[in-house]
Amino acid sequence: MASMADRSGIAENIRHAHPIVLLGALYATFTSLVNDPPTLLLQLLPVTIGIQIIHASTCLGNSGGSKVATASGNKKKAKSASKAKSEDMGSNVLAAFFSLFLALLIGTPAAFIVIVLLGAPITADLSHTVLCAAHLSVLAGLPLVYSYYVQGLKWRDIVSLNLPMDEVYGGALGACLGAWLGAVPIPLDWDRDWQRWPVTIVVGIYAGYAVGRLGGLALIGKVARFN
Amino acid sequence: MVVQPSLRWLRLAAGNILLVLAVLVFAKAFFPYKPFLQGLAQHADYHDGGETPAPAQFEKIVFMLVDALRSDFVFGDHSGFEYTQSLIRSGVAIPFTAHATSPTITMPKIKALTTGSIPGFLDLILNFAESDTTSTLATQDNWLAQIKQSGKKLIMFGDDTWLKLFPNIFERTDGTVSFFVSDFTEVDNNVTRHVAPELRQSDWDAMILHYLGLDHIGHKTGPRSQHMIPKQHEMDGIVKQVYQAIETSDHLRDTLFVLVGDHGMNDGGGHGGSSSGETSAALVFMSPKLKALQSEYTAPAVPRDEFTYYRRIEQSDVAPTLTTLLGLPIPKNNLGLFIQDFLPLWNVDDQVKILNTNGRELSRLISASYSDFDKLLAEGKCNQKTGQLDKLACTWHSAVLSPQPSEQMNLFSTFSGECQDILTSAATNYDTDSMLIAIIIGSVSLLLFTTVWAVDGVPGSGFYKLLFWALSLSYSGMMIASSYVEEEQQYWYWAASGWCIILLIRELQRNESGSKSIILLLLLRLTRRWNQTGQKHAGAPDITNPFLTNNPTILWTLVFFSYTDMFFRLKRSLSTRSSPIVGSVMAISPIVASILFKLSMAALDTRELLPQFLTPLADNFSKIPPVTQAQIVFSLLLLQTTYLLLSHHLTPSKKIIPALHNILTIFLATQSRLTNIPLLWFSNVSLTLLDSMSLTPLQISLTTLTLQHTTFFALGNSNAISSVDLSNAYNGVSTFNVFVVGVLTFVSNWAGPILHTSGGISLLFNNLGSVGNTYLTYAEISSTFRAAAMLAVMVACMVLRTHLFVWTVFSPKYLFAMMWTCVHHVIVDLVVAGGVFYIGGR
Repeated sequence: MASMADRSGIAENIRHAHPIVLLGALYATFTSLVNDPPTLLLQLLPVTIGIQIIHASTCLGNSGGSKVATASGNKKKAKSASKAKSEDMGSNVLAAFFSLFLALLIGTPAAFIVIVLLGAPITADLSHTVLCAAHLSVLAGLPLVYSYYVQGLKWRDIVSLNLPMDEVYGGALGACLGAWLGAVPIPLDWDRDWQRWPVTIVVGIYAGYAVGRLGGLALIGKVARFN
Repeated sequence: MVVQPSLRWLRLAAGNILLVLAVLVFAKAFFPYKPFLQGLAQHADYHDGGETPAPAQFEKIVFMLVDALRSDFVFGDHSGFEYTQSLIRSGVAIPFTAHATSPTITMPKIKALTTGSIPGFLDLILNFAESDTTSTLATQDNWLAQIKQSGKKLIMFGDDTWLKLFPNIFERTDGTVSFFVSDFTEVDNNVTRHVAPELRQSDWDAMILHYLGLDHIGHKTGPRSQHMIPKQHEMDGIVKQVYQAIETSDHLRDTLFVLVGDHGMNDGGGHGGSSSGETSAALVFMSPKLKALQSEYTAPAVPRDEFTYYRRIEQSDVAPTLTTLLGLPIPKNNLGLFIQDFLPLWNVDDQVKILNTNGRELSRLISASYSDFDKLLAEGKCNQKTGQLDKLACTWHSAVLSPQPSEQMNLFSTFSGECQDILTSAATNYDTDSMLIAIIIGSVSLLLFTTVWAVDGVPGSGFYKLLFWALSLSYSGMMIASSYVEEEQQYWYWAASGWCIILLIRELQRNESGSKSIILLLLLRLTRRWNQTGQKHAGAPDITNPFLTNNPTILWTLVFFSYTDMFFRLKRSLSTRSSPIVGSVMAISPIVASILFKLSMAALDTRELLPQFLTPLADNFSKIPPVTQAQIVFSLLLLQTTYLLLSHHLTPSKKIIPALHNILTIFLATQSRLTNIPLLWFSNVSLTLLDSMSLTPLQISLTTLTLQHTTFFALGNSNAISSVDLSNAYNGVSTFNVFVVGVLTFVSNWAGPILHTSGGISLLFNNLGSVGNTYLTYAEISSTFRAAAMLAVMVACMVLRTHLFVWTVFSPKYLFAMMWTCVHHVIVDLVVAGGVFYIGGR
């Protein structure tokens, strides 16, 4: 029992440290990001993936693998950090990698299509846009896939904002909103290097993710109605 | 709280009247007339008793103005001005790049060239409202009036702007109307046919020629048009004709020949703004006598920056230089400096005298603004104080007292330069009290509309109200940043795409597939990429150019589909159950007429947009005068509208609104650039999708507001005067009429917003019950936004009135905001839309 308490203590620490580490990684590499966005985004991607996998497999409840069949449809207390159980650690990591696989294979193209529809350039700076989509997908999509696997109905709820708010969902929405708000300073005539595509969008994604997690906690259980 | 409908009508009317009042009061204070000195200058004004002015070098002048003659058109590598370049190489032609200050529009630029003053923004409005008589230069000193005063005779051929600016000054004239931009040849032939006979006459002393064709080519097809080089050759031919006459005719021996552009043009062929292309005009002085200057120039020349060839001078420098060369007094309000390249034509004494005269003239202007300056000059020596005017006076005294002519000349030109700096940089004396009153009136208007939200409560969910205010307030806040004003399209594209996402989520929450919103997003993405606009990326590659211009077949396929869509829509709304054939017959006629008109216009103006297989057909139809063709289109549309309104009791109410919308679409297509017609199609598809989404009035108002602005910019407009599209302003107009041309110009530039106002009404009608209340809600919402936006523009213009960009960014923005408020909002969104509601509700 003591070791379990330890573990949940570690998980709690990771949960708190997670957004700070993410923002720290972005902050530490910001100069390179401004100088050469695609190269840095490509280098930063594995770091972010690592952080996200550690976070997901230690802090998030999951319905990965075969468990989904029994768990689906039931009320799941999916987000609580105390859920991390030692005997599940191996399968948790496996599930996290599986989530990563889906986030990159399906999430990135989907995010790419959406941000292009919202105005991201494709004829110029294609690699910038693709990498930006990948970051959005790993930050927002990976934890969602880990938590909700690939249940069609859940994902419909996720897209239509019908899912009750929680930390994971808040982070994902925050990342998306941050990406959209990140476009605001681009047209200013300050001619700063950081106005380069997609620096502000990436900052918006990371900051939005961190803020969204807090927002998700604050508004836990709430559902947005758009009619 | 429920507010009585009668009270709501009253509030709507009062709020909007106050808003328009605020706009007008502010405009009067923000665009003031600059004070100027009355009367004509005399030599005695600048010379102490008995002293004679520097002698004239020339007796006659030929002033040939080629509209929009950008510096590189004459001096560059790919110029058609080969003869002019040969004159430059041989040293008898002295070339300059003349800097034209914004607003780069013909009338203010003629004022600058003739008076030497720098006209303000008000002249720009007057340039469009040409009938205005306050814009004449009859009371302002200028070199034409000086020539006339010296007993000489002037003649003028070309743009009739000159006749309006200088009434009763010319002995013989033949004015051409400057606004028929679709005419490239006739307008210039009307000038050229006078040149040869007049060159044989010896009874005139000054001949003004103003050629418009090159500017028209720019407006229609841009600076790289296929018509450009042939036109330059034509103009070069006139230069040759005039110059050879000067060389060979005895009565023209002492004639100065000036070739000048009033402004340049940007990459799109427009002008009005302050980009380097628009502000760099060509200027060449020619005469065999100028050989004495022994100048050595190469031609074609290498520009120092994009458009600066040779030395860059100010356009206002032309006036003092011309009067001095002709031995006339410098015009009273001149801010220009004598161009010193010409000094060696005189002896040293006269050189000093010329620079002294220029200085005296400028010092009088300083004294007019700063009365102390006279006293300082009268002191006769330096007073050791360090104030700006003290130092300036000191320069003058040192110049007068200096024994060395070369030092004197240096000091006089320093003095003149400093005077010019003070006079041009002095902020205009704004009437800040009136501006403040206007802002207060505007605030009252906004406050009235705020009660709509705070007291009665607009029907709809809180989230969308929050969204409305977020949109209004973020838009208002943006007006303070010059780059957001320049790139306003970015804001609307961003807001519209966010709005589509909200519609998508709403659709999904209503358990629908979401496909409608996805298609909306897709159409929006195409729309925003259609025309690159704004300041930074204007002219960058987009769908229109190069893609559609390089693939005219695709363009015409899209145009054809757009018209087919218009046909089916109109047919559906016109056909009755008893006789479905009536609808087809009635719908096909204006569609065919409109397509043929567009085809003929393409054949005449934009041949590069015609695919080969359409050329014979287009050429055939272009034999019918386009004016007649446009009149046929307009008549057919008018006929159908009349029929609809008269037979209204036969058609169900629900049908008349879409029918009117579909007739309007054909009108807007006729008034749009060919490449923009598919955008109207996209808009109509979007409206059909939105129609099936069961939106609330508040949601419809938000959609309409967003799409009105999005399409305005997507059609290629921006907050720069140069983006105003005049290419469809004369459709069907055979005699110039300010009102008709004004309406057509407005419709062709605001086609997107007008379409979405009409579309918004259709949406409201299909989703709603009570007509009066629905209209009121819509009108109140759009009025709130407009009041907030207009107020923000006024505050920005007031706060930033001394800002560097006030004339280039904020003044044009104010003019556009005025159009949005007084014309689009009040007339289209309130009055016309109200009328349609009334008809539909009967």
